[in-house]
Order: sequence, then structure tokens, then C-alpha cells
Amino acid sequence: MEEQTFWQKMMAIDRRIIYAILFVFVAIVMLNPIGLPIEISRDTEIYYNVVEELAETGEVLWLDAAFGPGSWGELGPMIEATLRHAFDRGVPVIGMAMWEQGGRMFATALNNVLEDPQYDHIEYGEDVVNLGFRPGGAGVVLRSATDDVYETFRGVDHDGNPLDDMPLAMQTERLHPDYVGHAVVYESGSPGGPVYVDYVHEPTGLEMSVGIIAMSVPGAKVYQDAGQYVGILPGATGCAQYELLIDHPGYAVMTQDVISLGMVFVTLLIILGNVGWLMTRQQAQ
Amino acid sequence: MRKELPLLITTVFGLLMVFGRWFWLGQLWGIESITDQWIIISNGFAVAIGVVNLTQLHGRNVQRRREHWPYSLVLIVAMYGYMAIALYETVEGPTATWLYDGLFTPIGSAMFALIAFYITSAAYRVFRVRTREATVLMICAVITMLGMAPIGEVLISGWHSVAEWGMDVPVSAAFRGITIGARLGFMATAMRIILGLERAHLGGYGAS
Repeated sequence: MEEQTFWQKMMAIDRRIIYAILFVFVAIVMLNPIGLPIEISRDTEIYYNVVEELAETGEVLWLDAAFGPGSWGELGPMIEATLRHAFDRGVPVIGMAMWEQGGRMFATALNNVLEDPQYDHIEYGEDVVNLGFRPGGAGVVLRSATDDVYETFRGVDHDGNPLDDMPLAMQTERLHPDYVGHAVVYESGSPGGPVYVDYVHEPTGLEMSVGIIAMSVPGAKVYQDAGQYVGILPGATGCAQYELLIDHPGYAVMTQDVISLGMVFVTLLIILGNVGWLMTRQQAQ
Repeated sequence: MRKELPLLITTVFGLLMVFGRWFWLGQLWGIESITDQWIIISNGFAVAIGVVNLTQLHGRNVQRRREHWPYSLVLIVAMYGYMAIALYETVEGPTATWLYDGLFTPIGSAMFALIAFYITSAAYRVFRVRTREATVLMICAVITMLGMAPIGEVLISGWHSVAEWGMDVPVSAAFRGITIGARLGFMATAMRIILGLERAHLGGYGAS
């Protein structure tokens, strides 16, 4: 039997070895961060200014957690950073969830932020409310916009507490520009931002933005170009930039070195794979 | 009748939704608000049908000891076990919360995180510059990948702007075309369903 050349062996490498190298690579960078400089993108600045403008008008910020635990790594820190920014600037926040798991995602983000003694002054019911999830997907959003938020959520919040005791929820009768200043959807799939475009933004004129996982950004750009989305917070990188803008570097900033060097690693593998492929092809000829 | 009745219901309600949303009289009568509530109720029924369907399918797998039947058993036990706990103590109860936070959340995150490993392996084993198109694709992928991460700007000043332009202009233009095409297709399909020309949703073989 003919002995395999170096490149033939390289091309037949066990995928588990690649997995192991990636794991070690990521672990090393996570444990020893390099601190690469993070440049603020235009999209992140626009998103940041949305909250800043609401601080001037005192209008309500409506957040929808349209994702599950799988996207927590990218979207969870976005909600936390937005809540911090809103609380710092005195912007009232109402949260809800189009996804069944989203109510818990929002609750976790809110609890993480409220654990910080800096936000001891935040009163649940007055400054922030988590309406949670109600079955119906787009129908819930539509009803909140056209009918009544209280009735849509059966008069209770995520934990089953009566909304009657929450002034913020009682004042926000509808998901409509008369009661809400801006809506942000954190989405990792469907239903997501387009539901708000169809049922809230277009019929009522309420301005909206999205926080989105990195791989879905191209799809969201279409809506921004059409003027339907004001801002897009793109993935963990956008979130890291936002954390720097609000002067509270957190989880997303921590992941940037891993993302950067992970991309370099993938690029090197693409090059190596192609060199190997060309060499083995030449040898075969 | 098994075909005609669902077809009639689809046509009547399709037209009713159009009438309720885009006609003045429909808006005045508040048809949309009523149908919105029906959507929520019918979603509840859809979940119930899903549970019955899953039970039948995986129940048969277990009963007949088909390949990978233990996975079907795990699914049934998990579905009914969690349902029983949540019904007993509500979804916010301590055991239901513990199971959700301790199992579902980490499993969901782990599934998503595994994609990184698959992408890395695929990058090495599959991404080949066999054609000119594949070469262009690879160059664009590398420019975007590194340019959208902080490392791009560290390597070459202005790389981030190039990647951002790529996302804003060519990618956005292509996506807009795809989106418009998809929406037109969606509208055409909706019209065909309302008019009874498309019958695939009735379990048949597509267009009549």
C-alpha cells in the first residue's frame, strides 16, 4: 500500500481534532484576553441615540424578547445593556415576549441588572414591567397595538402579578405612538421584527429598532434601508460597542477577543484546507 | 365534504380578514379585533394537535421498537413529565423552574454553541475554491468575517468600513430583491389558497 503524503494526511484529518483545537484556542483566549480595540459602528450609535432621545421626551421604551436560550449569548447582554442605559437615563421600560421562552429571558436580564446596587432605586411597576409571554405570536402584538395591552395580557405580568398595581402598565394602554416612544425587538428568528413592521410600525407609525444575531443582520438591513427600522444592534460585536458607549463593559466586550481570533482561526483553516486540496490534486495528476 | 368544507372555511375567513383589515366597514365593525382573538385560540388548538401528533408518532416508535426508539421515549417522558409538573405547580413553580433553568436553557445554548464547531470543521473540509464564483465567495466571506470583528480594523485600518459597505450596499440590494420576490410569492400563494386553487394544505398533492 502506498504511503500517504503529508497533505493527504492533513486532508484526512479527523474532525474531532479540529474541534479540540478550536476548544483549546477559545479557552486560551477567554482566560487570557488581549483587549483588542473596539470601534463603534454607525448602527450602534443610532441605536444608542434612540434611548438618548427617549430620555429627553420621557416616553416609554417597549422591548420584545423574541428569542430562546440558544441566542442568550448574543441577545441577553443587549437587553441588559439597554435596561442599564434606560435606567441611567430615566426611561421607563415595558418588556414582553413573542417567544414562549422570551419572557424568562427578559426576566433573567432584568434580574441581573437589578442585582446591581446602582439600580436599587428602580421600582418594578413604576419604572419597568415585564408583561411576559402570551400565546398567539403575531396576534398578541397586533392586539396590543390595535386593542388593549391590559386585556391582551389578561391583566397580569410575567409572574402573574396584577397589572392594576403597576402604574406604568396601566398608563401604557396600547402599543401605539400615543403611549410608547420606541419599540425594540430582540430577534433570532421568526416571529421577530417583521411582525412589528407589519402590525405596529406600518399601521401606527411607531418607530422601531432591532437587536439581532450576527448572521441575521443582512436580512434586517433591508428593513432599515426602507426606513422601517431606525436602528440595528448587530450581534455580540454591536452589543460590545453599545456596552462601551454606556460605559459599562460587560459580557459582550469580554467575547470580542474570542470572536476576533476565532475568525482568524477559521480563515487560516480555509486557507490551509485549500492549499491542501490544491497540493493533493497536483499530486494526483 | 372532507375537502370542500375546509376549502369553504379558508375562503370565507381569508376574505373576512381582507375585509376586516382593508375595508372601512370591516374596520368599523371591529372584525379584525374578533379574528385576532380567534387566531390566539386556534394557536392553542394547534399546540394541542401537536401534542397528540407527537404522542402518536413517538408512541408508535416505542411500541414497535423502531430504530432510536429510546429517544422517542425520552421525548414522551419529558413532554408529559414537564406538563404534569407545570400543571401541578404552574410553570413558575420551583421544580418546573429548576428543570427549565437547569436543563432547557443550557441545552438550548449548547445546541447553538455547537454551530461554531461545525462551521470551523466545514471551513477546513468543504470551502474549496473550485470555481471563480467560489473564489469570489471566499474573498467576500473573509473580508466580511474579519472586517465585522474588531481584529479587521487592527490588521488594516479602514477594513471595517469596507465590510460595512459590503453589508449595506451589495448584500442589502440582493436581500431586498429576495425579500420582494418572496413577498410577491407569498401574496400569490395566499390568493391561490383563498380562491381554492392551492390545496396542498388539505393534505393533497398541491395545485388542482
